Amino acid sequence: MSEERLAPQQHDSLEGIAEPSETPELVGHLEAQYMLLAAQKAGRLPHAIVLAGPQGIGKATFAFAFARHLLSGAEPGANFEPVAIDSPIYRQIASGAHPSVLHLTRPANDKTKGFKTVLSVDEIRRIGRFLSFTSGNGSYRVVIIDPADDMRAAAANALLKNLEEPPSRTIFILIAHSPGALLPTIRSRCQVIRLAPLNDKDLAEVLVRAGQWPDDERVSDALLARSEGSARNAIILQQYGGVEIATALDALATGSADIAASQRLAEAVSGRDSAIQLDVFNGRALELLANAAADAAQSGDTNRAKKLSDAWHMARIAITETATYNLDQKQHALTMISRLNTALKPQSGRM
Amino acid sequence: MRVIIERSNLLKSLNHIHRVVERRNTIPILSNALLTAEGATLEMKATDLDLEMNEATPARVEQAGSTTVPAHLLYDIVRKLPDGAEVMLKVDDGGAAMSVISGRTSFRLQCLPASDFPALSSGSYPHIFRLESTALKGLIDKTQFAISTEETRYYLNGIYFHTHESGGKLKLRAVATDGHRLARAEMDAPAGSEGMAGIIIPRKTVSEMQKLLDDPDIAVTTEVSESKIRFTIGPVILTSKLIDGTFPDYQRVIPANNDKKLILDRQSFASAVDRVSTISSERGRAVKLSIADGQVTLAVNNPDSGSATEEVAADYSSDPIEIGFNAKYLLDVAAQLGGTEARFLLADAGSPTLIQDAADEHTLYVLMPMRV
Repeated sequence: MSEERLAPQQHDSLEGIAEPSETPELVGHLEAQYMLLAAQKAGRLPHAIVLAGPQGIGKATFAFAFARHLLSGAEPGANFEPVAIDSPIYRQIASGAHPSVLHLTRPANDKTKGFKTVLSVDEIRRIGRFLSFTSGNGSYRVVIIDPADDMRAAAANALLKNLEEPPSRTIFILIAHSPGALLPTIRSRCQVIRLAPLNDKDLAEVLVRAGQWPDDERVSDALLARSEGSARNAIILQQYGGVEIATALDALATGSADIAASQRLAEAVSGRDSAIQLDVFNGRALELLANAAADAAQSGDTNRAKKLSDAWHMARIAITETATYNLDQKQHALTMISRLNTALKPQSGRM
Repeated sequence: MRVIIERSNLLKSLNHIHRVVERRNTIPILSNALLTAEGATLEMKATDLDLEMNEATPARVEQAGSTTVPAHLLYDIVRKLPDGAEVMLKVDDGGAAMSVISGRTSFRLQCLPASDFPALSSGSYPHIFRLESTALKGLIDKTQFAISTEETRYYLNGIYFHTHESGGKLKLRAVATDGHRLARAEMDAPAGSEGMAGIIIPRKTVSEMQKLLDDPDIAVTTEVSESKIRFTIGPVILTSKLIDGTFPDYQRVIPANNDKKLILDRQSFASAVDRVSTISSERGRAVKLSIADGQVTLAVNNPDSGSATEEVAADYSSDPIEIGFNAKYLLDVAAQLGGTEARFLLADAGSPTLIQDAADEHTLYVLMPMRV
């Protein structure tokens, strides 16, 4: 995309892809835009919103577009007015230097040069300091928590303190991949806005703009089919051989045991630099189980649905444990393949 | 941009503005200072998003323009250049780097575009008034020490400036408190301050102001809006956000009916407090004042190491009383009083005490006692 990068790198940055804060235009989500702008027109803007939806559909991009709209002082129309990429407001928000925007994400970890694994309570406490000052020019103050899923209990409770007594002309935007996991006390103080996965047309547009649209039509069709409306998924699939991993896993999970192919796949996802590949692998494995369980439940086979659902839980535990205890990834991948194979085997007869 | 400027002028301005820039900054543009060359001046600006300092200094502008460069780096470079040198600042055609050239020394600094630099000072300021720097410095100096550092009560993290009608005259008042002590200073309200809503000026802004006001006898133009304050002190413009909160109703804690009057020699009292508090190493140590006819006995008791007492002559004729205070707070107040005599107005051992300079009616301090 743009050769010059404004926004600092985050824990979930993808190489060569613009951060949400520096993405100048929002694709899709028209209804949610319309709803917020109507509320603003009526002077009933909520003081806190939760933007809920799967990862990679543009929730953070939505949050920043909304922040730009609020701070530019534009009249609320039907959707957020796009801003020029050389305008000060765009550049200041993107580089994190706007006096009225506080963007909280996982902070840098000084010890490891990487990022911390959670949105720490110290970061949340910056809100208090931020809100103790006036906005400077009387405009809105915008606090973006990206994502709220990364908060542990202590951080969530610290946030609750700020949500309970919001000062005037302040809006909290909580980005949540799984809003159900938020503290109920937080959820009840926010208006939850569900953003739907992108449709094929919008997803294609996002990918074209990000320079990630494959030329080959067959590849692009497969990409749209597998991304589930998430631009992030699509980019990962595209850049990190995700389509190949997922296809290989599909074949291995349902087909007969092919030891050589299993070894190849496990090898591919277990290298030192293949964290994203392993994510794709794990994600696809859980998805296969979840889909199969849903199918079974819909066809009335509750027994099989229960079994598959249990397998899903076991698989999830295995994934977390592998990460937590730093277990051998290759062995994990091989076990996962055989686990899928057993669970997904069509049942020979009814019990 | 191409300017030639005297090193001493550049250094003086950078010395002011570089303090605003935080040392540890995750956002690159905030480590930078904005340099703008126009007409016959070079303007330098730095910000931490809450506070912005702008200073103009005369320079020979050969080509107008603007850019941003790392503030601390530029300061360190200019500081080490020889005295009396001339410095040329020149932005290369692409705008990606700025050269700092002086004599045979030359640096190239990476730039960020000027348009990325956040602006705080724009907007309108409905209230404008002028103050003498010494008067403003007086208000700040007398109250600054009582500012709270407790973040949960953020509305105490600054000095509350407001106008107040007293004795038929409008006064400009500065108040600071941390819940244990309170400082209030006032002066005749300058023209233009009428009708100004009370504002809380944050601590960092206050301490920057203190440093800038060291030069005596300059008129300071103060502009106030609901959310910002802007001071123009000679060539320096300091713009700051305000604290967004309501300052508590401090009048209620200023005792009006304290009838026990104690007058002390300030200097000997302060030295005595300082001496007896040596025995206790912990902070928040209490000094017990046993006040009787014509005499105050100061006592500090530390169960781990011993005790100390000292007697100080005093002018006192009410009933004897015993009261305890935090030694550090007493010293802080004594240091601010300035005059030769300190006047204490007391009620009882559990009630706030009023302390004033016997010769200065414009300033007062309230101290909460400690149980001893």
